[in-house]
Amino acid sequence: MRKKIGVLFRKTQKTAYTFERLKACKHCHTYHVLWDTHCEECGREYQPIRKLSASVTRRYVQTRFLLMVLFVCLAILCAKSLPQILIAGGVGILLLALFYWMQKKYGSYERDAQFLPFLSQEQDAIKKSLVHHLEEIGADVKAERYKEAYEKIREIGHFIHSDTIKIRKIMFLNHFILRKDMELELETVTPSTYDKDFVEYLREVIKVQPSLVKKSVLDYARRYKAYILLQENGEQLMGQIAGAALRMRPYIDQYQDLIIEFIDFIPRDRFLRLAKLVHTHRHEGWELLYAATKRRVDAQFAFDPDFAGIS
Amino acid sequence: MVSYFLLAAAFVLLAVRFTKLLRLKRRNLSAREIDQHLHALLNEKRERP
Repeated sequence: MRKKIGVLFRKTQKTAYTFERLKACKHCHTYHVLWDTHCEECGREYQPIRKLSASVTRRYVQTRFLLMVLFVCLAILCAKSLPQILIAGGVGILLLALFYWMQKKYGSYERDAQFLPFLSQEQDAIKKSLVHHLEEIGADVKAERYKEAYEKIREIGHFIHSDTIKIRKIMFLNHFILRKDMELELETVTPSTYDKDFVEYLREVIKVQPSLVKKSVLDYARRYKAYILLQENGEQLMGQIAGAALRMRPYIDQYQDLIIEFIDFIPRDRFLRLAKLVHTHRHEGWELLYAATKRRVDAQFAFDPDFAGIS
Repeated sequence: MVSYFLLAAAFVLLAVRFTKLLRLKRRNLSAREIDQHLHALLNEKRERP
């Protein structure tokens, strides 16, 4: 068995949107998604990608503005009399003022709209930078720096949702002793196919943070139940997963079959919650669940004072 | 005459920009849509020849 290490993860930056995590070095034309604030090549400060895109848009607007100024200046220069000069000057100032007002009022919509083609244009450079980060991770793994490797891949995971990234994350996470106070992830590492390491990780996570078990994990457990049962203490794990599903009523409705099937393996405290719930809501489509719960209560907890009056 | 022609050109330029900005305002791209676009770009699978 692999020796696990105790670690304290670096706090990850919380952002509303993923693109806010992208930083760019204007000078080297590279991107960065980790925690560094300055470019490792040139030492210049990274800039948010949105700022970079906004500066491209600003340049575009400036050229349009200068074109208008040129037209107005030429109009003044081509004027043949004083009234024409005054008209050209007055109309020109009015047009430039309108341009400025329009830009102030609607410029933000243009910045957003230009950001989209900017991202498409920078797609290859962003991908190249992510690959560079993955190479760094490879070096970290070789040097057995699993904590750094995980922290890096966690950041990359915000951008790439492939199974390869998820499985690598799980591989790193399985090197650590998991604790309640850790910022763990489960939904974001759930692969689309069966993975033994993920099941091993799930077993550990469910012990410390059962609240992380959500729909995607329950679906995974239902889909790969046969494989999980082949694992050592597979039934106990399925019982724990079913116990975690008791956290929310919609989950109980949706995963009733799973709960009934593994009801005998649900830990006592979770089973007590289930017993209380089915006792209160027995006539709301939970008849089968009620019958299964009653059977276990009668068989195992008939003399348990906590279960008194429930069945 | 040339002077008025140049002013008209400046006005057309302004009108074109106004139409463009108005169209972008109607489209009103949200940050969520931008984010989805980024995810689609980075996670798209290129078909091998």
